[in-house]
Amino acid sequence: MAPVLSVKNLSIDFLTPSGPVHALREVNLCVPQNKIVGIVGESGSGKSTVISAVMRLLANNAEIQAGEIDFEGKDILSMKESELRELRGEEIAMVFQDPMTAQTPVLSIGQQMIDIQYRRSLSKKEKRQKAIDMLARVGIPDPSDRMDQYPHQFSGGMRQRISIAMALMMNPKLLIADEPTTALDVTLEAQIIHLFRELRKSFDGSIIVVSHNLGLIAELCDEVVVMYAGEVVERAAVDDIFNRAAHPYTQALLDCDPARLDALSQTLPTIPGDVPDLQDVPEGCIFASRCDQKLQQCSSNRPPAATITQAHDVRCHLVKDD
Amino acid sequence: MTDLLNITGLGVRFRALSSLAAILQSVSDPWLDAVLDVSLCVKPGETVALVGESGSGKTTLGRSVLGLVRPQKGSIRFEGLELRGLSEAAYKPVRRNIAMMFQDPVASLSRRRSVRAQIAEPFKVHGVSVDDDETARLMELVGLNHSFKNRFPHELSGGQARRVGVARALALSPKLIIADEPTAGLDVSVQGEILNLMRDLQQQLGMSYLIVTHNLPVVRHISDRIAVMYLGRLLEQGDTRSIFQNPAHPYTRVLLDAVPQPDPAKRRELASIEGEVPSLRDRPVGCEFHPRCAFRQERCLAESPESRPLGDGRIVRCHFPLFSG
Amino acid sequence: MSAPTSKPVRSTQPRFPGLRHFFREPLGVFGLAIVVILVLGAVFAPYLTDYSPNAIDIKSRLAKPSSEHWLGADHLGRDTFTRVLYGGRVALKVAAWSISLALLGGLLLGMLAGYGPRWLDNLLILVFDAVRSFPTIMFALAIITLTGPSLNMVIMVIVITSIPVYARIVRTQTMALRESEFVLAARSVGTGWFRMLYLHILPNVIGPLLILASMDIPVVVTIESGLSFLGLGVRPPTASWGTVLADGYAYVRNTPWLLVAGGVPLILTTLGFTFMGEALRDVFDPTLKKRD
Repeated sequence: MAPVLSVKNLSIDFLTPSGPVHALREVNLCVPQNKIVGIVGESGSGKSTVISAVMRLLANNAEIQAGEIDFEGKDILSMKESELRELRGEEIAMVFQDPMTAQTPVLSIGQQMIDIQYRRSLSKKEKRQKAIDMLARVGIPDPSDRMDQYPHQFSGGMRQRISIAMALMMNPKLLIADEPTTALDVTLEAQIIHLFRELRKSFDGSIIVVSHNLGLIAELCDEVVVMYAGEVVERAAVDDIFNRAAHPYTQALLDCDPARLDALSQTLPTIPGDVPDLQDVPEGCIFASRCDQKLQQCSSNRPPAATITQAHDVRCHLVKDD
Repeated sequence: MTDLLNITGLGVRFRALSSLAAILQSVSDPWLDAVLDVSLCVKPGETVALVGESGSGKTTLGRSVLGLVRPQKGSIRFEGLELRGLSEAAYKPVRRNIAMMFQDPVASLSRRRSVRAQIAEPFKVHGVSVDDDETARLMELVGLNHSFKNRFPHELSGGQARRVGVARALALSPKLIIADEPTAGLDVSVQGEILNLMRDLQQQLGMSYLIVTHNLPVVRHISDRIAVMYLGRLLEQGDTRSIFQNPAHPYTRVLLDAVPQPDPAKRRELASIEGEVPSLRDRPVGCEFHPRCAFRQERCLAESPESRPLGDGRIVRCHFPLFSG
Repeated sequence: MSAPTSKPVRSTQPRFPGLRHFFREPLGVFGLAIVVILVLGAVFAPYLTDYSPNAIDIKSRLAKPSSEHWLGADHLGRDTFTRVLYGGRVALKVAAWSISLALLGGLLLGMLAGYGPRWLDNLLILVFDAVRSFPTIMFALAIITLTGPSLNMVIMVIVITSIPVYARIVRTQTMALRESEFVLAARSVGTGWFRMLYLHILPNVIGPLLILASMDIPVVVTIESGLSFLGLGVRPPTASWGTVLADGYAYVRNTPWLLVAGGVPLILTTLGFTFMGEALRDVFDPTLKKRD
């Protein structure tokens, strides 16, 4: 079955007064039907840029240097604004990081949820009912009463649930969740993870979860894409990433997560060094400057993408095609 | 060993509504208790982690030790000196011995002053002479390149700004450092840097840390003792390892279980808690955790539990602790 | 000890990066140019003209502009151009004194109100509101009717009515800054109130205040001109743009040049300072960094 989303060779620059910043370089990833794909990366990895590109909500100074984004066979990058508007909210939906600013403060939740359905020719009463049903599904108590309340009358956790409700209401083919739990306390995070798991049973689209939280990714995702400084360094099924990571960055990242360290450690592991300056992309492998398994050629030759098993590929000189 | 910091029965209230508004809205009590009846101690050279979710009062507690927020009830004794009720002027010498590291490292630095000026500030305020050698020494201690001394806060990365914050906190060799969310905003691959630095400094200089955080995985590794807060109260405190292995309070257990595990093989049902933290205005009756507790019994709905020691330094506020020491 | 991971400095950015941007705003530069011309004209007045502003020369009464009198002469034969230049001096004096005193007073009282105890704030606000309840011109008219026209009185009135406006702005900013993280951090280090205001609060509130002040200059100059026009500002025969306008008004049927000569500098002052002020606002704007 063809993937829902396929990003091919995407390269994006941001133009600044001091020169272009090469934020994304030859990014390839795909989201199969009915799967949850996690994009993991730290600051500067480019994961938010990829998502913005898919939604075509990039900043004004972004310039797409190359690549395609195929959504159900259509290239998003060549669509007109009117076509994109048809897609957004209906076929691709997004849940944002900060629940406190995600809804319009001056309209009631009900009004906002009815508004999303503007493309459908249902009666007002039917739209209202659909909204109520959706709020119930995400666990909002007394939805028919609370529909008429305003966003500020809901707590952060509730508002994130509402965001999810709004995103899923039109049954999109793709849901993008950008750091959905980062702004929430850990007990609320657990509830949202549980919610996603429940909703997944009845939702037949695919989900992209963007996060820097390895725990969230491990709990929810089927497949994982690891990004570093604007490149995809490794892609695999979740089990392979967490247990058989092939890229030194992925390995180091996993080692640094204190929740993975069983033995109590006086000194916490880190990855020394800084993310390279993307205005001046170094030659060779992007991770070479911080890699502890570096070979001679890593500083001069950029590694090609190698396939380990079907669905597990890495960009590293240490790994050859199997 | 005498305690460095001894907090007893501390209470901090904020006024939520003016008297007039309270009358108009028929609210009987316009006060919010951000910290309620908290007793905690920190010994010299030890690291205590204060953990809790939003609204737990942990940040307020940290700030009240420094007098940035004034408590209404209870006592804070630092090296035997009672801090509650001290005037701003009387607090000044205390602030040589207690320092704070703030959550947002860039925002906690004065916008229009250089790194060197910020690190020299504590010296200047307390009339201690400071020269370039001294600021250079401090910068080196925290691993900041000398070339940064003339930079301004907006020219620093988050990690660099944090280091400046550490240098400023260390300036007068404090005995206690209160660190407010030292890992906030830091990637997992670099949060170790600041924590390792703090540990190294502790080994070198022997200060105590009170670390306010909601980052549980990190707390397990870096703290000697933990204190868990909820709605302004301390629900459990004790040795870190011991609590992680055998949490006594149901809330502690829920917190520890809720942390998402970075291993797909360890997936489990995470929905062991319902509902959300109640508002400080609507404190539940009886044990304040009872509406969300899977182990609640009749007594919990009516009677608020007292803090009881369980042995081995463990103190719990629960009628039916999960672990008896 | 963990190794330093910070990169060496590439280049130190200037403290106010917006200054470069100021020169990119054409209107701002234009405004600055006008202001510079006006100020230079006032300061170097004696060198730019041979006439004395009060030299009466009945022979040249109401003369049209010529090579002898660039802007003509008024009803007493006094060279208009000279009177305009010296009028600029009056305007400059009023602007400089009143704005700087108002700034000083506003800063001081505003910071005290914003940072100090509640009762002080309440007291100061009461005073500010009381003063502001009088419209400036009415206030000026009342005072000057009692004391007689004088430039110093004009300055004093302007200062008294401006201080509350400036102080309120400073107060609001101070109150906002009082809760910010770096002020809290400074308190945690032991910083006392005086040092706090001087080192931490003042540098951050002065920016918007300076912009306000620069936009206020034309207002102040216009007030002086207005009062002088009514005979309540400078004492005759002193030249002021207002008195030139008054003469121009009286003799408009004989020559339009007096009116033009009195009015144009006022218009230029307003335009110049306004453009400059708007551009300055962008210089201090923290969101400037995000622009391309």
